[in-house]
Amino acid sequence: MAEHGSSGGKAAGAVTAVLIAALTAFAMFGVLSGDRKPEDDEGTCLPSTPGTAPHSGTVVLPLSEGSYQATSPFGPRTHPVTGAQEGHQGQDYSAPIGTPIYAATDGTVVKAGPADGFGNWIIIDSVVDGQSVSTVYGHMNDDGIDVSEGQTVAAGDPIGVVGNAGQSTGPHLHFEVWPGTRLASGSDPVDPVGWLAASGANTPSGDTDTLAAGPSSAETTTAKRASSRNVQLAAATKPGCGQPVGATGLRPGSVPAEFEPWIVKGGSVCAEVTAPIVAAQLEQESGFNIQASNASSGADGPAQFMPGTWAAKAVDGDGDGHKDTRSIADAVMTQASYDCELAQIAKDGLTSGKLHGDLTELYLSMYNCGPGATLAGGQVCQNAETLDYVAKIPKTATEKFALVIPNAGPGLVPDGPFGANVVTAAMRWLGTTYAWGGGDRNGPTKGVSDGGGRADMIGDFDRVGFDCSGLVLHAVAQASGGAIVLPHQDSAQIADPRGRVIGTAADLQPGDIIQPHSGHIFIWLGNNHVVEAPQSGDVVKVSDWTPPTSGLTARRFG
Amino acid sequence: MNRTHTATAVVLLAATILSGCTNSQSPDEHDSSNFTAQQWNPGSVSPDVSDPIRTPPRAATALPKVAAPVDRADPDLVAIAALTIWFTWNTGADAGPNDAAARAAPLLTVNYAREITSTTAKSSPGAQWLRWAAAGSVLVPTITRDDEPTPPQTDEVANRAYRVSQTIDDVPVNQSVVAVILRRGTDGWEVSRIQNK
Repeated sequence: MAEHGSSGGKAAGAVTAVLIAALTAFAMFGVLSGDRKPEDDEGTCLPSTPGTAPHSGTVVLPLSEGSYQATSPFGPRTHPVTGAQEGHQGQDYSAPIGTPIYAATDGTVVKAGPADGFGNWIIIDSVVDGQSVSTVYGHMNDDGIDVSEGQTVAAGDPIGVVGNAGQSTGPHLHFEVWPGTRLASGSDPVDPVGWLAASGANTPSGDTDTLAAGPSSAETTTAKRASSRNVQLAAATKPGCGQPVGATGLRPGSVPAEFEPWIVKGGSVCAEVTAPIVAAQLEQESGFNIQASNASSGADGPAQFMPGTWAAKAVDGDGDGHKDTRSIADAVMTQASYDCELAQIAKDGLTSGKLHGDLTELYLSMYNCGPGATLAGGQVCQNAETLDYVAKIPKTATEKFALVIPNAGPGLVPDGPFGANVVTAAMRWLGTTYAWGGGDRNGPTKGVSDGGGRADMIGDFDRVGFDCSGLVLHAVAQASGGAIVLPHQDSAQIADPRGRVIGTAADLQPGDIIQPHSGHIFIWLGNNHVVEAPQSGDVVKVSDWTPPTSGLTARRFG
Repeated sequence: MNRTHTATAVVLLAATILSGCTNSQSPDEHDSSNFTAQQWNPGSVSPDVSDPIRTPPRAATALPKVAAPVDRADPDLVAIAALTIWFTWNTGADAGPNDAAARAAPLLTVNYAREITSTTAKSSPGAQWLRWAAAGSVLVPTITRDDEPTPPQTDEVANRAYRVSQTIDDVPVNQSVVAVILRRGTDGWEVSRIQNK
């Protein structure tokens, strides 16, 4: 194993393929760990047999990775529909209508039907780690519930699909966690994000060497966990039900060869820190320059560690008995190890309610701005550089270093006709609110806001949704499996050289993007129809539009 | 509707902005509360004490002479002036983009100015910045109004979006699309958010 001193070029190269293959399998089939083994459903996606593993303590995410965007969090907020101040009792996850919802826990369905505000809801009563807990799922449409009251379900079983019923501004799942029993008095909800994170923190307890071998070593990791609970990716527990879009594998050849095995290995230290994230950080810090040195700060090596931090955190990555900032193995493994330490602090902060926001952005904020400053503010540090860092690193990781896995989300056809996938990706968000500045490669996002409170909420721009170029950005990114992420601006999109110009109406095909005039952009469906996010006060919808006989401004990607 | 501000005008403003910039604040000029946060490190007593830790830049209290006075009755002029200062990066003198942002403080709401100057990145702004700094480069922005629709303006709030192209010696090196939110204060419009779109 390269981590035990045979870090020469040949040895490193020899393990590269093995590591990549292992991690690719890891990404493709997920972390197969926990109390239940994955069902061998041969890709049928059928629910597992009810009652096979009741109340085992297994916990899974209610939506598969890559199918959702975490949006409105648990806690105080202004209701997006009523404008009233309220305590938001759950976590919202935006996802297309029809996206499968999975039981987060083993248990018994105690409610499955209409509910005020939710349109419809499902409540599952469970026992996790010996404690009663209810999980609640809301806003399914009338035809979006696939379980009935009294039914026994297992964690990971499909129980319904995402809808837009009740008081809702767009398709999403509202998910609650209630220690105790939801329908009994004396119970209060907790932050689902923190609860899910605490349920399966698969942070290794020391020996990272055992983690590089992929799925087989994941069981070793599980065995070391203090909790019997284990967060799994719902899709990953059911091979064939869709692969995670958020690929965690490192794209072969995307980093210097001498870094590759160590970055792959660094990405296996903990689930929260992926190889592409580690690669993006190294590029940001030094451009993969082993000799990088900053005289003014003392930062040194490819990961640009400062002396004090190095003294406290350094890892002997290659086991040669030395910890050298300019050793690729030591620098990369120290960076990954430190990232994972910070990720654990961030998870604890989310669980306790001291922190709010996205886990990855929070640990990156801690890396860039310091854990103390991040905890003190309760969120990502708000200085310009840190905000740029937490946005840039995941973006670069996805676009430049992640292994592209064709999207297999609802309705999308892997390697299918590009234009058809563009259309599918956009059409599944019909009815979603227009939000100024909203939308990214993964789905709708909160629009641009300055936290102005009710004044913001009266308008529709501060809600979760898309603006015109946000919808186009999303659809093209989805169709390309994340390989093409356009700028969030209409004129830049229509001029993007990764697509080719379509000059006449006769040449238009579904999925082409069209700029009808400066300031707007939408997607051609054919038959004089387009799908668009038109303007403030409107929603994603299909509109009539007739191409001009001359002067068409259109472009085709894929 | 596009309004492109000429490089000449921007360079003039930028040059004046730079003449007033400094990164030579001593630690005792700052609120000591910043230091605890920046030097704290999990699992260690005080591992960073020997490291030269960056301190948050102080929010400027006055604009450069040529940049002022900005017509605070016009939200577009306020937004463009703020963005010009925010994206004029003197890499040879500044510790990072945060220094430029802090120079825009007189055009920001008090809360926003405090928010952006209460923390800072711990180390350098990255390899690319250091390459620019090694050459003493100055990045000068060109600001172009984005035509995509923005939420309707009210008496209290104005929303704008711009394309920002930063150049070194007229060669583009960095592009961004930014949203700007302005609020009307007692002295006119002031910026309450600058965010990548």
